[in-house]
Amino acid sequence: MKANGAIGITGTGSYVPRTPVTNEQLASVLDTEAEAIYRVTGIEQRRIRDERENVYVMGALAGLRAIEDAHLRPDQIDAIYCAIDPLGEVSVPAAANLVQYLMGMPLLQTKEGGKAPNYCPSCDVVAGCCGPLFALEAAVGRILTDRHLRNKRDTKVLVVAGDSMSNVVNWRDRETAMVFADGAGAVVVEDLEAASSREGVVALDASRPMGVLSIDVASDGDKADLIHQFSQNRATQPGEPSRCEGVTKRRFVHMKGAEVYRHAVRRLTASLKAAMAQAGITDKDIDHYLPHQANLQILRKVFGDAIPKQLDRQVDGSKVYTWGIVWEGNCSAGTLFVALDQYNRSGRLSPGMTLAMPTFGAGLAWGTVVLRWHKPAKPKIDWETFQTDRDREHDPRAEAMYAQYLDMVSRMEAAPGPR
Amino acid sequence: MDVSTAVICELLRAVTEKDIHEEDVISESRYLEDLGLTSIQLVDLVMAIEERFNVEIEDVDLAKLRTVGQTVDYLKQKT
Repeated sequence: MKANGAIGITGTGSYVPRTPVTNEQLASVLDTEAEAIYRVTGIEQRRIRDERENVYVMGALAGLRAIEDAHLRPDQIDAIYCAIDPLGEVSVPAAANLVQYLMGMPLLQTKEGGKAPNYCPSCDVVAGCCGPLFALEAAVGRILTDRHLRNKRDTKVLVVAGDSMSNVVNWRDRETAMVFADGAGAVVVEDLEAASSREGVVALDASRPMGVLSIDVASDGDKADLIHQFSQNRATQPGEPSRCEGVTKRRFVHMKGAEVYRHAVRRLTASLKAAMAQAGITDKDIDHYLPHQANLQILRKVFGDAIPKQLDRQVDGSKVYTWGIVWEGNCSAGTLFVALDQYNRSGRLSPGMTLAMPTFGAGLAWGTVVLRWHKPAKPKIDWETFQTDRDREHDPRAEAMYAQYLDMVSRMEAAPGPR
Repeated sequence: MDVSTAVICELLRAVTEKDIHEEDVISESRYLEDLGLTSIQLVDLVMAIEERFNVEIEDVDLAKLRTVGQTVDYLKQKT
């Protein structure tokens, strides 16, 4: 098969917490009504993690699922880029290191029981809700660097994106509590010609461009105040006590919702146009829009009549995916790849389909990726059945990963020095 | 483009999908308190104004646009 150097997504995975928090539950905390929450956000319920489902566990599970979907093993991954903001958990080292660790890659063994660690480079590319696009672009860059500087054409990069927004949400703040949620998604990115040597990964011939057709990304640091979260730490001088000492107050995420709405609509619209122009296509060529699930009002403003006035629990009546925001909430960096994974696994993607995935968030940062799908289609599953099965799915690796995480925390806490 | 209360009323009707009559709107009419706009509708109005008058309204200026009269004066300076 000839792929003309195309680079694309060969595997998808995701993990969202199993427990929903409904508007009714939230309404009493926020001293409002469930209907008012739906009217402002379009959200019916959001997924909020329990103690064990921390962002590293969610990211590692999503990562392993993407690797399996690409018909690969963890020992075959060459690099990991993570769009995961620690949000009050482990700031150093990078989240990517903990995700790599929880996926067991440094501890891999040979069949005979000898050590066979995969020390693939792992780092974070964090850009709020836009992180998955920046990390995807870094992955494409890594593949091109290997191709041109290392003469290596079979590089396999894992991109993991997700957030645990409940770490930093003030449940009495309407601007954030109504919207944010937890979850993570992941993709494997590869040179498609190299990937086609594996059975069932690449189905589309190179009669027209495929894989990543275009990526448009941009940032505006002048709007950094619109969505922000301070860490607790501040610089100190020698001899001065740490300003963290005695501080127990959580530092919450803050958002200026009205301004964010306006910039989101403006930037998402412009970025979609730019990415489609870069790819040489128009909106008529797009089969599915899988936008960042920020807020239904934003999506309605950007996509207009393409989103039905009355939404049901299905997704097939619209080219624009909005199910995630209604039923899972806004899990920040997680939503893009969670949506892609749901469409891939439920059989809604087939070779030759063109997808546009615009996103917008803290930074401000925004962007769009346009993809032409090339993986063989999976059997199509009724959407409600698919979601019910997904909720019932129990992944026993989650418990083991959390135990492994706690083990690492105790090792960290054993480091010398006052705390 | 002529900046007037009539044009703002036209945009208000488009954004709110309500029958807002020009004679019911005075210069001092406040968008949120008097005309009953939601905060999202107010942002929609600002975006409609930007498009109609081909101007970009900075975030810092948003707080100055609480009434119809303030909006008309602001646009007269800008355009």
